[in-house]
Amino acid sequence: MTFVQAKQPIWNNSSSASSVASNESMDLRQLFYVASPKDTSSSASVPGDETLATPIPDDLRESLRSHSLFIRTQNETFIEHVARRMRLRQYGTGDVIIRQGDPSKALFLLLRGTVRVCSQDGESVYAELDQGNFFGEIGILFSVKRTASVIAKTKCLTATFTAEDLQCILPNYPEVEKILRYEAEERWAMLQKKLHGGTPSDVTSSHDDSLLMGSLNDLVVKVPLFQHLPEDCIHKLSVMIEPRCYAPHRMIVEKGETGTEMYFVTSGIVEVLGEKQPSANVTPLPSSPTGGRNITILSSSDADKKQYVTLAKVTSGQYFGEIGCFLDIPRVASARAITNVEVFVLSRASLWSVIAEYPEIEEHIRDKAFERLLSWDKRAKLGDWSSYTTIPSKFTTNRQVEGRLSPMQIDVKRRRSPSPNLPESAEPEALMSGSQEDTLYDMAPPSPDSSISPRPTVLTVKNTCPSVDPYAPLTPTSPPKQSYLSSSLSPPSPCSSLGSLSPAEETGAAQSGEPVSKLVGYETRKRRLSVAVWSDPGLLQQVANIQQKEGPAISLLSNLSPTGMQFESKRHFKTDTEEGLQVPGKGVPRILDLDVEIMARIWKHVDDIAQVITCRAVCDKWNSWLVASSKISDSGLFEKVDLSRWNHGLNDETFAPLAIILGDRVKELNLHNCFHLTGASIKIIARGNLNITSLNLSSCWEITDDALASLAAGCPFLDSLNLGNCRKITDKGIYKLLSGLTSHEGRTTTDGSIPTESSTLSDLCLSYCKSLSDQTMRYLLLFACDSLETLNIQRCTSITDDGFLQWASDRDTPSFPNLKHINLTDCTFLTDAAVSALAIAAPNLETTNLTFCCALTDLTLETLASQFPNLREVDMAFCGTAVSDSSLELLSEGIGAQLEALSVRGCVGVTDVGVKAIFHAAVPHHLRYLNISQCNGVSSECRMSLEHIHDEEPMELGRPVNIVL
Amino acid sequence: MSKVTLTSSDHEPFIVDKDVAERSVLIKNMLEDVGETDAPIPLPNVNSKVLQKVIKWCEHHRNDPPATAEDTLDDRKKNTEIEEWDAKFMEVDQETLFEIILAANYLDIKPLLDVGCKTVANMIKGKTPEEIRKTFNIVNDFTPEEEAQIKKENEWAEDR
Repeated sequence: MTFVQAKQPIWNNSSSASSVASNESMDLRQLFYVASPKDTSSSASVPGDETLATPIPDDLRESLRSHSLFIRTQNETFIEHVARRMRLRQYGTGDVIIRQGDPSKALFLLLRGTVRVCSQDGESVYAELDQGNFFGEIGILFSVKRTASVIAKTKCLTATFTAEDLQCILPNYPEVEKILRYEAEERWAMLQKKLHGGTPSDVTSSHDDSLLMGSLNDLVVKVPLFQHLPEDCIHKLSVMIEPRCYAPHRMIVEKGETGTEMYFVTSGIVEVLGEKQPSANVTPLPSSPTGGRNITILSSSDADKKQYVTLAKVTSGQYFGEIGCFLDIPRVASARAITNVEVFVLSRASLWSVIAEYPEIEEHIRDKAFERLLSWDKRAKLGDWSSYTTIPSKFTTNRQVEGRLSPMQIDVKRRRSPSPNLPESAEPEALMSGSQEDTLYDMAPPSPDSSISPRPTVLTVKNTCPSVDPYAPLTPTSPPKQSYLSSSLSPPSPCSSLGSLSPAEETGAAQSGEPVSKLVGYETRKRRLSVAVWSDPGLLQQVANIQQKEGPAISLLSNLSPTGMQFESKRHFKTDTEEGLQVPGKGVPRILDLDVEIMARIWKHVDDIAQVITCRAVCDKWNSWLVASSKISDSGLFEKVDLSRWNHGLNDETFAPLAIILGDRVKELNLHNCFHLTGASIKIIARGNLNITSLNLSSCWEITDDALASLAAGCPFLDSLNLGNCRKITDKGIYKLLSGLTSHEGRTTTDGSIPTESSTLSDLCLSYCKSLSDQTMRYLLLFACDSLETLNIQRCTSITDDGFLQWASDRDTPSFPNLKHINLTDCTFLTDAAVSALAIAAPNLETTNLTFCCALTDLTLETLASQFPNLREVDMAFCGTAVSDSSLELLSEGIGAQLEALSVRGCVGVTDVGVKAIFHAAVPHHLRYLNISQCNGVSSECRMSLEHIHDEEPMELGRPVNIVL
Repeated sequence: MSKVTLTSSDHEPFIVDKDVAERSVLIKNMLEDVGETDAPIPLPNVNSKVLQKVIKWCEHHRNDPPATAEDTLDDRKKNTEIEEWDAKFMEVDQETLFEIILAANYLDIKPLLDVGCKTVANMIKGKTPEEIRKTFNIVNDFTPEEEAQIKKENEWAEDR
């Protein structure tokens, strides 16, 4: 990477620029250090540098003022303050501004130009940032190293602040600090989520490199519902949001299913779909008493043969699914990805967990959500989608709308209008007519109904039903908040009263008479449960009385609502329209009445992957539940999958559909001995499962280097990988794997910072991969030196002392500070030099296995005894002459007190002297395992005395000591 | 020991010790919200037969330690070990079993929900799809093509 010097200041205001330069008193070298990579810091490569004192050019002031970071503050003194503190830097095209791995010292504001966030080698570009953006803030705020590089794509002008600068300035401007911290937290959260998955299985991995650079905050604020929320609240919502991708034609939302999420589209196009209803399947229901009009509902048998009509298209910057997210009603329409789509997802649980902290906002949200719902309703009637988005030409006649939307509208109307509570005013009539879709649509152009404005309608509920509203006694003053709360909390009584046994509803029905009893018959939803408890007016009255006695401290309702919400979101029963006519309390519960969450629990307890997958063949419902990955991902089902038992049946052909079903739910996958699988299957894993952290491919010996490359590309969180006995793997494959995993680190970086700089791989087994040579050792040093904790290279006989000597090139700093366990069994050619090198490279080793390393001598034990302060377990079985009495004495002196396990099995040089030394040094402390079998030099008397210990001592020691004689 | 009255869906009152009732997180939260009250707590989703069973379970397990780190424990014990008493408790007809599960879910009694789920899991274990359908009286609603497709995709699982 060349470091091109910026020759010309981009600064236009030449006079001030020069005065700036002359007035400057800052330390250039420090500035340079802040921004430039250490390994390119030849003096010739110092980039152009401008720093600012007084006066501040207007130009710059304007840039700052309009910078995204400060635009919200509009605090002139702050801008002034900032301008005095910052150092201006300019870069020419191609200049490296941040180098991955460098310490993070500064925050960069991009005032002019464009930069690229990219991998260390500059090969893959993760994102581009335009002026007005900032980067490097995570590094500062979270004190982590840079983990992606930032390169100037064009000429750039940046303003930098060191951590110290920020510490000076920010305390005086808490609001800016908050913005900065919030933005950093939001980016950080998004980064973590991108890294840790939640991506559906059919995501195209090529796609998720693109990053949304705009702030999440801005995105959230766009939603009218959120527009007037306080900063803190928006921030909390932003942090909750998760990224997700959908492939073309993938259904994102299905009409009728329970909506628990809303989606912000960040790229791609989504179509909002209605269902085209073949007229034969429209079932007219008995006329309702109020108007003698017909209501149509979807008959459930149509569900499988859906025909869709596009209602609207949603593109980047827009959102959908909000109605279902805010109100507990089924999806009013379906949504399908047209292109590759990236969305940010806000779940209802997240939303309410935030909202619960802001009771006053609850009112606002519900208020707005109802408005949205009603306006959707109205649009559906008018066929007017213009305010939503562009309407495809297909969507023309009202006739088409009718069949599609009526069921939802019925639902909507009922929810909105607890009609039993409406006394003999004109309102019920109007409302009822609103729900008689047929009639309405027959009048084209519509709509008498549109005259009912959303807000008043909802208010009617409150104003007209004080006598029946069970909550009324509690809140005599009855502010709107309570009324909204109650209308939403008490699950619209009429609609849910089908089969419900709640006294309140029975009362309500009795009082309001006709309408409800008829409407009941059409309801297809089950009531929500948690709320039911509170619909007993008797109980609530009693509670109210208690409260009155105690004084009206807090409104009971506001007190209750968070709990209520929790239950709503957690344990809503399925609102499956097909099953809808089965109601709790009526009929006999069957296993199919258990909801998906409970079934997932059951399947998890079955604990046999094959058996669970077999359940697909039982019925359509189970099949769809098992296959639809995202729906039961919370349950932990399929998180750990061990397929090694089915190794004979698994080949590339049978594995492919299985992998798709498992999707990205699997975190730990064991394919040990699945030797029919080839690279093709590995590629499927890599494509479909971003989340995998542990993969056992031992004895999948068809696997080649290419498969490792795809693994590295698709599974960035791989923490543990077992490639034991994958004999086709060469050094090249290891390079592809390790370099690939490492370059992921910058992949989701928006600002050049992430916590680790090498790969996440901590546990690697390469045993019996006989083609691997010292090159592999070099790649480990290059790419996994920080992360590696456990390494097994048993019988990698081509790895020699040289491999270890490379590791020890730096005598002062250990290359593998975290390496704790190493297995060198059968590496028969390794000599003492390798162990000495290991002592330098990985002094924190805790366990080491040197079985059958016959070329070692006494020196190795000396090294083990003195150079590894944390060593606990040593296996030197069959190490020939390496283990003698004197070396065992050394070992006892050195680490006897910490030794937990020692095997000198088959070491002929060991006699009673050595055994006693170890025994006295280690048994009183931590020793729990000692193996001296096949040590011919140890006398039978010695063995007998040990046997005695073996039998008696443990009681006193408080731990078992296993001595293998 | 203070008492709590629970009312089943068929209006039958059950007077139980507070700590027994509070095995249900739902009731526990509710009591916390309401404070001391003599008012009966209506449980409109649980009938008296099931409520009686649930209360019996709660009484037997009233002294169980609170299920902290429940999930890791779950992992260790894994699958389908059920305590003897619980196993006996769950010897009921399917209808009641599912009602108990639904009630445990509704009342938020996680250990009971788990026992119920384990019991059902044991009924699924080792059975072919056809046997499972038979056990639970499930109608095979696949088209022959769909069934063949799934069978093909599941082939590996039959080979042990």
